[in-house]
Order: sequence, then C-alpha cells, then structure tokens
Amino acid sequence: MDDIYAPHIAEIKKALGDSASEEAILADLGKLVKYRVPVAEAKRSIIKKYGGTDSVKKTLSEITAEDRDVEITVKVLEVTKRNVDIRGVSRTILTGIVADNTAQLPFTAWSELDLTKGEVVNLRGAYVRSWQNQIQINLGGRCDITKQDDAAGIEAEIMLTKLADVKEHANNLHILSVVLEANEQTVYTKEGDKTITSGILADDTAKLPFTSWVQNPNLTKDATIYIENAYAKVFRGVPAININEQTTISPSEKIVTPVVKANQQSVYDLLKQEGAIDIIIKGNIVCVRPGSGLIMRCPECKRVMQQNICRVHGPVVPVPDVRVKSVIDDGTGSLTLVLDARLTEELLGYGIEEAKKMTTDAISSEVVEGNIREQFVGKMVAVNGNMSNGEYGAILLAESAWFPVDDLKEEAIALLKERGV
Amino acid sequence: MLDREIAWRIFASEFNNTNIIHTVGGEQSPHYIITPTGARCNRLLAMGVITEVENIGHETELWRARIADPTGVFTIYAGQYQTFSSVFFTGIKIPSFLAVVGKARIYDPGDGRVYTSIRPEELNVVDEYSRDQWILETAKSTLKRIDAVRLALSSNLHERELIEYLQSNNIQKELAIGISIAITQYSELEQYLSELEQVVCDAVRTILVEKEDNVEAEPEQEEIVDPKEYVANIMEMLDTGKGAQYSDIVDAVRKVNITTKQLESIIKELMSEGRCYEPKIGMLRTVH
Repeated sequence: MDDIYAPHIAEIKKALGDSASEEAILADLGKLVKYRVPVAEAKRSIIKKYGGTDSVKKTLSEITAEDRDVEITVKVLEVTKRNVDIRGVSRTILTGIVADNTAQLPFTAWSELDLTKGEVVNLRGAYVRSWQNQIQINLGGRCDITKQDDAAGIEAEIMLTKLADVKEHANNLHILSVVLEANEQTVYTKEGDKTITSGILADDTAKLPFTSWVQNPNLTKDATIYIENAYAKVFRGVPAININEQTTISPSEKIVTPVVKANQQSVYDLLKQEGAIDIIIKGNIVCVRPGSGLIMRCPECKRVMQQNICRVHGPVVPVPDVRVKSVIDDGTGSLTLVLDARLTEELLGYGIEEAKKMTTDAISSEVVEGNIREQFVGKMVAVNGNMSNGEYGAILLAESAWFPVDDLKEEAIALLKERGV
Repeated sequence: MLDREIAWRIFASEFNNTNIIHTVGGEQSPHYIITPTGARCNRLLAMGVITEVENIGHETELWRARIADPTGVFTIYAGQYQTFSSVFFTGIKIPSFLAVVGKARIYDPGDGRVYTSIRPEELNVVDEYSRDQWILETAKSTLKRIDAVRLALSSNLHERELIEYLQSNNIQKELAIGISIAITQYSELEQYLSELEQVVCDAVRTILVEKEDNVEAEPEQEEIVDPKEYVANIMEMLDTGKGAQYSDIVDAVRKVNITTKQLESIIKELMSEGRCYEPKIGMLRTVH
C-alpha cells in the first residue's frame, strides 16, 4: 500500500510541512480510500484537517482564469490604496502589480493587506479572476502572506503599457509617452474648485487623452515623460489616462517617436481597441441608416425627438439639425459613421437651411434622407475622427471627412508591378 | 452586441466559381458562402455595369438584373421583400454604373450546376471613378486572399492548427476560418489560384485603358462570314434541352458585332424557313 500512495503522501507532506506525521497521514488516507473516496478528494480533506490550505503552487505564467486557490511567490512591483464603494459600503482596497521571473499580473486585495512595494512575498490562498479579459490575482480574507527575506530571487520590473493596448479600467499603468497637448482648466468638484490638466499623450502606437487631477510641472507640451501608476477610465467612449496623487511622473531621456499625424488603420485593427482618438479610416458607405437627414432636437437636452415632444422635457420648440448615420466598411470590418451638420454640408453640399427647404418643397420628411442615400451609398470615403467601441457597437464620430481622389492608374501600375506582371 | 457581417470585395469571376455553402449553428444563424480564396462571405459589395434588368415574377415581383465587372457578371435577384429595388430598377438606365450591397446566395438545383446570386440590401448609381476604385480595392483584397491560401497550402496544416498559423501571419480570423474550409473542399486549388491571379491582373489593366479605346478594345472581334448560320449554331449550342434563352443568344452574338436588330431579323428569317421555333416566349429551339 505504501508504494501506491507514496507520491500522494509526499504531496500532502509538502503542503502541510511538519504539522502531521507520515503515519497519521497514511492512516487517514487509508481510511478514506477504504470508503472509496477519490484520491484527489481524500488529499484535499486531509490537508484541510491538519490546517493546511490546499493551494496549488504555481508560477504566474502557469496561472489560468480557472484557478481557484493558488500559492505564488512574487515581488510586489506596485501597490496603491484605493477607496471603493462595494454595495454602498466604502472600503479601502489595494491594487497593484506582482511579478515573478515568468510573468507579471495585476492584483486586487479586498482588504488592507500588509504589502509593500519592492518586497517579495509568498501568497497562499490567492484566487484568480478574469476581468475585462485580463487575468487578475485576487487576495481575499483567507490569504496568507509570508514575507521572504531574500528579495534577490526575483528580477522583475514593471512592463510599460503601450497606449494602443490600454484597456478600460486598467490600473497601475506605466507609460512612456510624449505630451502632445496640455491645458489647465478649473472644474467644479464635490470638494470645491480644482485645477486639472488635460491634454493628449502619444507613443509610437496611438494617441490617448489624459486628465491629471493634480498639478505636475512635468506635464508640459512636447515633454517626454515616464508615468508610473496611472489608471484608465473611459471618457466619451475613449479610454483616458488618469493621473492622481498616487501617480509619479518623471522626465525621460528616452526617445519616443509619437504618432503625431492621424493613423490610417484598417477597421479590423481599429476594432481591437476600446476607443481611439484621431484615426483615419477609408472605406465604402454600405448603408445609410434611418434617422439621417433633417432631424428635430430638444432645445434643452439635444435629444432627437418626434412630433415636437421630448421624452424628458415634454412639448418644446424643436431645433432643426442635419446629420448622417451610416455604416462604413473597408472589407475588413464595419462601424457606424456619424457626420454632423457641418460635415454633411461639406460633403454633400447642403446645410440645415437647404434641408428645411427641400423638406417643405417635397412635403416629405424623408426627402433629405433619400437624397443622402443616393449621393452616399457605395461611395468611398476617408474619415478622420474618434472611435468608441462600447455597448452600442463601434461608432466613429467624424471630425473631418472627404472623398479620396487618388490617381488610380498610378496605383494600378504599382499593383501590377508588385505582382511582377 | 452582434457584429455586422463584413461586406467582402469579390470579383464576379470568383463569386461565380463558388459552390460551398457553410452554415454554423441552427436555423437562425447566418449562411455563408466559402469562395475558392477562402472568403467566408455572407455579404458583399459589388460594382459594375448594369446590362440587363427584367421583372421575371408572375404574381409577385421578382427582378433579375445582370451587373458586369471586368471579370464576369453578377446576377441580382430582388423579390417582394426588397421593395426599394422595384422602384430602383424601374427607373434605371442601361448601361450605367451600379453599386450593390447584398447577401450572397447559392442555388443548387441538384443537377450538378450551382448558381450564385446577390440579394440586394442597397442599390445605387455610382460614377466610373467609384467603379474603378472598387476594381482596385477588390484586386488588392483578392490578391491578398490568394497569397493567404498559398501560404495555407504550403504549410500542410489543417483545421485549428492552420487557423492559428494563419492568424499568427496577420491574417484576419474570418478569412483564416474560410481558408481552412476552402482548401479541403475545392480541388485543384493551386491551378485555380494562378488562373484567378491572371483574371485579377487583367481586371486591373482595364483601369489603365483610356476610355475611348475601352469601347473598341473590349470585345474580341471575330470575323463572321455568315451571320445567319452563326446564329443558328449559337441557338443549338445554347439549347440545354428546353431551348435557348433569347437573352443568352443576345449576349452571345454581341461579341461578334451582330446588333439586336440584326439578330431579330435573322431569327425571323430562320423561323419563316422553318429552321427554328419558339416553344415558349423568350425561348428558341432549332428544328432538326
């Protein structure tokens, strides 16, 4: 019998240390097996009985979203206190990043655990969650922390996040970027007036807006900066980098070539992101949606309304507006394209006044929409604007739009040459 | 949220060589066609010249239109649920440049032949420039797909492994899935790819041709010695058992510079000589 169970007993002893004798373990295991308890369950039960946790030892690269109870030895690369509301109760939690020699992962501790930046700890009873498609270590009340003296064992530094990879609700972001724009403004908050800095950051992958809730001398136009411990929050459909008291900003000597000009992308690549600013796409209009053309808006809330009645403000005097809601498709994917009155006029040649006249002349509210459809469907359009990719699907709000005029013959010759014919 | 299906850019030649229907899941799930280059296509954007439109429905409307690109002809069928199309087709001038966004359909009558068509969602008149833009874009994306299929064939991988391999080579997931199916279903694919590549390059060359020459250069002119005998031969060749479609004869003789008017008088002559008859309106048969 000893032979068969030897590996299992070794495993149990490893989990329990010296708190139980081999004979006791063997006796318990024998008894459970006699009752036909599966070996895996038997092992679990014995470890529990002698006060051990049945954490599985893993390295960070081995962790999957299904792991419920793991033991890891990691270095705390970053830790931040954060106040959150959990079901109406204010609690202090910790968020941060841990790493071993195989990988690094974000973590959340649901109480103020004793974790300090830079130290190496052994964590038992940690569990794993996948949140926003990102694997996250969670540390609850059952988590055992053992500080390791030997900090030299783990060589890890926080990895930089590229702006194109920033996801909604990402915490503890470290970013190397160039400040393209920075403007101070005063906003009213619960704690009174506050001066914030907002602007645009860029690295070699993308541009994103930022908001700094604290003033920092390094946040100046054209400065290359290293941002430690920022977080992302979606603002107007695009992830924005948020900087607060916990964030450190230092000037960097590294050379970053920022995307200054708008980036032309395929829709397929664009839709991998949760939002993006100042991008260009080129595609064909494959659909003009109802609700395009001349519309009436509530003067209070700008909502589109029917029959001069606003859902919120009741009967009001409507404000006319013109817009195009369409679908643009470049063969790799599609998204909703919205043009405002200014762009509709630029592109299709009529503004609000003409649209009103057309509607009156034709005694039909759909004449403008029909006209837009005739001018627009099938056409290739290039659009520059901001994309948000949220629960209503991907929407591109155009800043500028034009019908591209390329020398097709030249392109045709280039293409044939490329194929060697 | 459900993603909207991509509008694929596919030339008529490749579209008409498609014979695979691919459906995943239950009745509600979308139908796809898999083209030889692996486009897993539910919707497409096509542009070309409308050459023919006809209401072939009996009790309800059923419009059939032919739209020619430089590689072949797309057939469009619009029924009673595409109400906008009857308004559109009634007012259309032939020939003119057209853009169509629609669903890819395959009809398999079970006799070995397969018919592809488009059920339109959007129809619009466009200009020549837009059509040429479309040729160029369609050429680029078709060549990309050809390269991707070649990569797949040379990898000797299949199914899941192949899809992962293609994706790691920057090929979109949708296309990778399509290619994994296409390479198992189409035979002599390599041969077809070289033919298609040739067709695509020829299509790109049409952009280079000046407009004036275009009209002259397009159909290869054959010297016809005896138009009447030629028409009689065509009629017999196109007869699949029930007679030859009049419209098919019109298409066939257009290449040899016989006008529709000339054709009509030739057919009248043949009829009065007792060499052909009309078993049904629009159908012609030769008498043996």
